Amino acid sequence: MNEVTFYKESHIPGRLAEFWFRFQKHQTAMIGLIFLVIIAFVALFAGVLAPHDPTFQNPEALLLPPAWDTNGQVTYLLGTDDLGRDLFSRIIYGARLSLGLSLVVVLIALTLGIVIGAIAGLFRGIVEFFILRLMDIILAIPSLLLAILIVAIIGPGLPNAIYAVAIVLIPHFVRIIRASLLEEMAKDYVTAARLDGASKLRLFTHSILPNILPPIVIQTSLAFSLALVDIAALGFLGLGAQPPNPEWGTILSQSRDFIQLAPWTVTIPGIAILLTVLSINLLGDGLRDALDIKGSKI
Amino acid sequence: MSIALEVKNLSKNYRLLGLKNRVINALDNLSFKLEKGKTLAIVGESGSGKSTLAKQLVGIDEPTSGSILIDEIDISSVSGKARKQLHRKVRMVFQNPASSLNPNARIDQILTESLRINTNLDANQRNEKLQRILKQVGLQGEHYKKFPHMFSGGQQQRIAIARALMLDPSVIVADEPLSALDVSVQAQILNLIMDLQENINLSIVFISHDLGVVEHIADHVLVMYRGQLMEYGSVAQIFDSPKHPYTRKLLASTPSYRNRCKESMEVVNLELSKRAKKSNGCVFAHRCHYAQERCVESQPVIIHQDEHQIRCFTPVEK
Amino acid sequence: MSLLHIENLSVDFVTSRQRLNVLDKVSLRMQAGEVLGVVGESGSGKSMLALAIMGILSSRAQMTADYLALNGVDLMKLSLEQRRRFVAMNASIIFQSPQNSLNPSFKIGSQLCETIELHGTRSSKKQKDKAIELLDNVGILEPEKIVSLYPHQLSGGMNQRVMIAMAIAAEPRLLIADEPTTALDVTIQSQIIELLLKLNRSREMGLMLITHDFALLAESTQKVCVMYSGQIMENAPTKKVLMQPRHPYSRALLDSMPHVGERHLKGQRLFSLSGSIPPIDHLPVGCRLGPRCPRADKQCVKSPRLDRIEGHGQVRCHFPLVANESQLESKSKTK
Repeated sequence: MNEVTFYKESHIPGRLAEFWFRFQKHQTAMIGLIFLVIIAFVALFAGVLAPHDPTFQNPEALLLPPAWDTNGQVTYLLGTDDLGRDLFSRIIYGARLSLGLSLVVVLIALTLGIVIGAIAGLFRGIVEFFILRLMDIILAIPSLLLAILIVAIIGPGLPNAIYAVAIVLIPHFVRIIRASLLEEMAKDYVTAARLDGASKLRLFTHSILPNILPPIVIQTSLAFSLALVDIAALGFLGLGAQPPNPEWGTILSQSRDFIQLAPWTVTIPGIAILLTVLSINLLGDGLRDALDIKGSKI
Repeated sequence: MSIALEVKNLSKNYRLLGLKNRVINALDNLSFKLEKGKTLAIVGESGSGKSTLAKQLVGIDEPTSGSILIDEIDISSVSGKARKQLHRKVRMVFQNPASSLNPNARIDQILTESLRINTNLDANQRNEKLQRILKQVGLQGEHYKKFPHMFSGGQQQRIAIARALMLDPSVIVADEPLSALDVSVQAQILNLIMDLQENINLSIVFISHDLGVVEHIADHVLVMYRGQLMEYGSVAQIFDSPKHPYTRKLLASTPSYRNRCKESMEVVNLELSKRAKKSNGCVFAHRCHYAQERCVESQPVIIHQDEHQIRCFTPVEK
Repeated sequence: MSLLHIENLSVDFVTSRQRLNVLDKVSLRMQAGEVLGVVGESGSGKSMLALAIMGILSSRAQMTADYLALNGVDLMKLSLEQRRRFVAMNASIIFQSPQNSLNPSFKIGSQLCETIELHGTRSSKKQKDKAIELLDNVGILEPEKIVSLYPHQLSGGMNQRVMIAMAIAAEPRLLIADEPTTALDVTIQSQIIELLLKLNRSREMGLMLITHDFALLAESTQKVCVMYSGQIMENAPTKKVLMQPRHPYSRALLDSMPHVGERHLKGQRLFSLSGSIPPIDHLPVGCRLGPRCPRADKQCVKSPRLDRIEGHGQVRCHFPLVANESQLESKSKTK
């Protein structure tokens, strides 16, 4: 009755290895990943990398153009703003703020989304009904408008902007988590776990959660780029980070008046936002392809 | 002989949402007993209520009425934790092994999950038991760190059986455990089930549509149609002298048994058959070769001939 | 002239990393009006064979054949477009799951009429009459009502009948039925098989019945082709394969099925091949059954050829069973 192995086990790569193999074949996603890694690195070591203090005002060097301009100075690589602050240093420190804030926002939204989504999916009935309708209401209002509304109510400032954007992002997580949870609940292995006597909480954390990670990861990358844009927009409107914080949106709005006189003060933070959001989206695309396990076999 | 599982007057109704509030009787007043160490096969087409019955037995679903006795204790007489413990005595093996194993868990995690939840064994004791059960189902011990997708279908079904054995159950409910497997692998699993039964005195509820397999493995056979018992008896009674027209029809439809029930199984009276569909008579009347006027008018009761039970007005005597 | 004549048909799947051989030099012949059974487990290539004959393999598959003739016309000499058209006029195929093959958003009648129109009936009145006639031919009661229903309103068995009606609309010379009854209940199964056999007799239509169920073949086919891992293992008249199979695999398949009257009360166990079917990207060297075969010997690391055995048929084995040897050597019936 003993099972005898006749065939040499063909090498079966681990789940992570398989995922990486598929991801690294996706060229644009790799570009996005590399760019993001660079920005994250820059943000982490801003103190070492930045040539100047981001808030130091040099009255000698107001509105200096970037270094490649004939009037530019090499010490101010990307030029200076109207108060003589080094734009390059401000962008570098801004990366810390923009990226860090988005990360915090996404983590808050993700955690709350998982909890609320799991409650809706596991308990069904009236609880689910109310949660879903509430999420529908939030989704019905354009995200930026809602964020502005919330900030307008609880007052401007960084912490409030974080809450506002997190609230805006939660419904996306709730919906995707509930939908994938219900899909998994119908499968035999969950029934088997229920028969083992697993409680609802254990069922969710042990059986279901590992199997719905792919959609959650994809949603997280989407939410990340949304958060980045929304935080910058709030900063631009003066509702988020307050000057002299070098948040990218704030830098942009402060230089708005000099757009004709010193166009680089607007374009450079703009380009920073654009490139970062673009690379997050590219990364998300790659994740989606690499995590889509279905149809991977011949 | 002690009774491992007994079902008394079990019914399950599903309410259909819609314009008319229709009620579907998925199980209708079903009663049977399963002796310790024996196999009861449940046979029927899709929609006969086989899977609904399995759900009630393992406790995924609550019956509308009737009672289930596990090891001679009525599950409705106990509650809370004791009830859960009692339900753990009946374990299930699913049709499709691939989907019944968590794709993101290692075999040892899948198998020891029930021990973690239901027992106080420490990691070493759990591992010991894991190794013992894996050996029992014919798997090599080193397999346990792998994921389910690294196994063939037959091996996956062995793992699923191992999971069912982890809590030392007295009854295993196997819902079509062979139909997702290849022919040459089916025999392996069937032999395994029979070996287990002999070695650890397991009682088995074997749900299947494959009459050849049923004849081979079962001690008793329960033939179901639309949630009702049509015929119940020992293997010899069901296969050597089937008396219910539905049982005969099933046998006649299976190539290897065709010569046992040679009569035509076509419906004779089309007009009667049409009326039977709408009436409250015998649920099988509209497909029955032998249907008569009274089959449409009223429901037959179960006739007992020793342990042979037939729900029919005119059992076929041949 | 044979209805279907295949010589050395091979199909490979080419991926960026490897080349997978799913059909290996399959050769067979079918006469007009014959019923041929093709048995095999999953991965045996039996469905691939059907798709290859119909010319509907996926674009990643590469197909080669020395000769592949349907109704006397060598398909390999035709262009892809010509080939599809020719096959469509002369052969039809039905699949396991009728629900998936019918379009859920169109009525039965309009789907049938579409098929009929493709085969040259222009007038819509005539199309409808033909549709009703076809449904009547496949044993559907009240076909006039059925034509205006949608697939989901019919049972699985009825839908399979509709599929058969569509398949015979072109009056094909060859009908390939790929596991036509696997998704259906037993009582419906026998009706569908009966219907297929009736059509085979009344229309002189060749029938290729693809299945994993040996018992099904016993009473319906004249010849059986046993496949394993993309190769034909045994090709012989049904009676001979069932009564005295010469290939160990055929023998094992027969023995692993419970026999009528065999009950476990007598302590009997079924014979079973050890191990499982090799994945196609990991085939064993030599005979593909080798590692699982109870008769395997040193010689089996060399691939056996499909050889003719006088008075039997073709068998791919170095050590075929002898005519009167009814049991496998290592066969252990009692424990």
